[in-house]
Amino acid sequence: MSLGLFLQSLVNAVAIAGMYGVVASGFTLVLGVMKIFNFAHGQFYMVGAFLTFAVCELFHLPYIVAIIAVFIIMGLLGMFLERFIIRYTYAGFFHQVLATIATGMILSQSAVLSLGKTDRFITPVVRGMINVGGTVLSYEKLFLIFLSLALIVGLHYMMKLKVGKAMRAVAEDQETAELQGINARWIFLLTMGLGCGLAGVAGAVIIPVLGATVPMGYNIFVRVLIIIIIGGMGSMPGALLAALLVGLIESFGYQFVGALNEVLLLGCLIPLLLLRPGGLLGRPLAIPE
Amino acid sequence: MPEKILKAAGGLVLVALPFIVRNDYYLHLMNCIFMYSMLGMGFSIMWKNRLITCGQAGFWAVGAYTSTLLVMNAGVPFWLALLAAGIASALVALLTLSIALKAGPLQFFAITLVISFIIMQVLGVVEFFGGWHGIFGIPRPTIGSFVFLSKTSYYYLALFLLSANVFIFYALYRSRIGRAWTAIGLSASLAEMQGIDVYRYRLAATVIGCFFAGICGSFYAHYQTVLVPTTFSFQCSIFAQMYALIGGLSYYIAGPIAGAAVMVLLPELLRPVAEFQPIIYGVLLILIVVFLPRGILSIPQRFPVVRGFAQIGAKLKGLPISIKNLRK
Repeated sequence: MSLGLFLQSLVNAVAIAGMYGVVASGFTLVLGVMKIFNFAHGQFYMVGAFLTFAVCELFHLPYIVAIIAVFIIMGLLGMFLERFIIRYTYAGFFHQVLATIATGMILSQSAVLSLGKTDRFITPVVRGMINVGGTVLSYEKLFLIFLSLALIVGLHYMMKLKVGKAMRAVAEDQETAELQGINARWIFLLTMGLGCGLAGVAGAVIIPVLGATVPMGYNIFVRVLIIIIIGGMGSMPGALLAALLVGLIESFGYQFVGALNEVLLLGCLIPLLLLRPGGLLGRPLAIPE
Repeated sequence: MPEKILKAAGGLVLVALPFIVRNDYYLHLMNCIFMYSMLGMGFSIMWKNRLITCGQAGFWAVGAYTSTLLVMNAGVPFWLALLAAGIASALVALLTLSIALKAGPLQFFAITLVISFIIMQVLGVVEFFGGWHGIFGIPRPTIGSFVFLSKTSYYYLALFLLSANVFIFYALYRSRIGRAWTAIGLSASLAEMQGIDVYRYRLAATVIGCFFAGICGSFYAHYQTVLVPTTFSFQCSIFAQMYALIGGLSYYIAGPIAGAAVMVLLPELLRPVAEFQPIIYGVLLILIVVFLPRGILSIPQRFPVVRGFAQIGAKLKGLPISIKNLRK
């Protein structure tokens, strides 16, 4: 492998890892705080990408407006899901999972019905490329890395604020947190909004590079599951570390095995599980019975 | 006694159905119901241990492809291939899910989905398995010189497989193993305290469930005679969960059968609005999860009026029927 190919693969790895990191952070935040698997997470990501397309290409608004609009709309949609569906399914973990699966089905079919099954692209936001030691790196990928890093740093700063501390407290022990005067229901609402908003923004961030397709939501969801298994359920630093690992494996593995790199991921996942069943940085998280 | 008479009568109706219903299309729907009930029951046996599988489609696919490749490439007779399909599926489950189970139920839940996705991907990408365009012209099963061609013959094959499945599961649920599973389902930690090896019992349930998913896959392959990898998508695993949920999660045998009947017959009503089907399924799923979390079989217990009607049969024996008796 030449140095140029190596550098290119490295940049690709960091770019996809950043995006996986944003999606997986939102997912693992919801999992840690609310103890539910949000199966609609991938669909929120897909709808976010399609919404960006609608805002940029159909309404001709600037890209930054699209990102903010997607965050707000997807956040509100997530809050709606929490407030009006999940809150009424008190029959247990599996029923809540099924409620999110149903939401995902509705979202993806709505996307197919309203925008068709064709792939959508937007006009490039940043053009041009840079030549580093014989390798050509497009500004687009560097912009993607910058955006996802900004989102991750923002999220981690938020977790240090009062709201973030409340979220972590509820994740630790809901009853004790409520005894300290934290309104757990309000925190659930905020967490779901934040998680789904982040998924939507990740879709908005990726559309200039990869475009928007209907199966992308499901494809990324499988990656997110692998990431949270490797990183540890409900652990945000673990999710970031695992996202970087998965990005590296996928980007370099693609050179050798091509379209079968999911098998490579499974091959790395199973020995890791044998060594550390709880994930790299996770503590055991039990399904509430 | 009346319950046993009812069951026997139901069995007789099922056996005699091809002579009453002469329409091939209705028989095809019945075959689908039998096939999907088996998938749903595979989900149920894991749910009895409070394990949630998202990978029924993957193990279904393993069975279907094993049986097809054995029959087409190696010339193995169908009945051996049927068994081999189940065993292959159970082996894949044993190799991968035993590790997942050790990590915990949540990891099991996530990994089943990942594995099922990867199985579909491998079947599509590797040319040996026929690629994304699939395998055509799978030979039909034979007994001696008799070839299964008509829907009626497949109906009896499906009925045989389903009843074998039901009897085995029923016997398992009634046995010591089944009681251990019930204990694990109530509380895994309490069961462990009683000296039940939770890991082993859960692994046994998983392997048995995947074995029957494989058998069902073999039947599917030789019934449709066409295999396309995209059949075994995530959607299909979700449907296996929906059969069990719609029928009722606490009815481990009757639930999936009732759910499969609803889910096979519903699209027939929805045919005019085919493109809205996933949305309707989604809304139906949300409504059931919120308003009827114990499934349609729980309706008699849930609503007093219906319960009263259901009790009339029991009250016929000796007791005078009065409002007072029905209220009890």
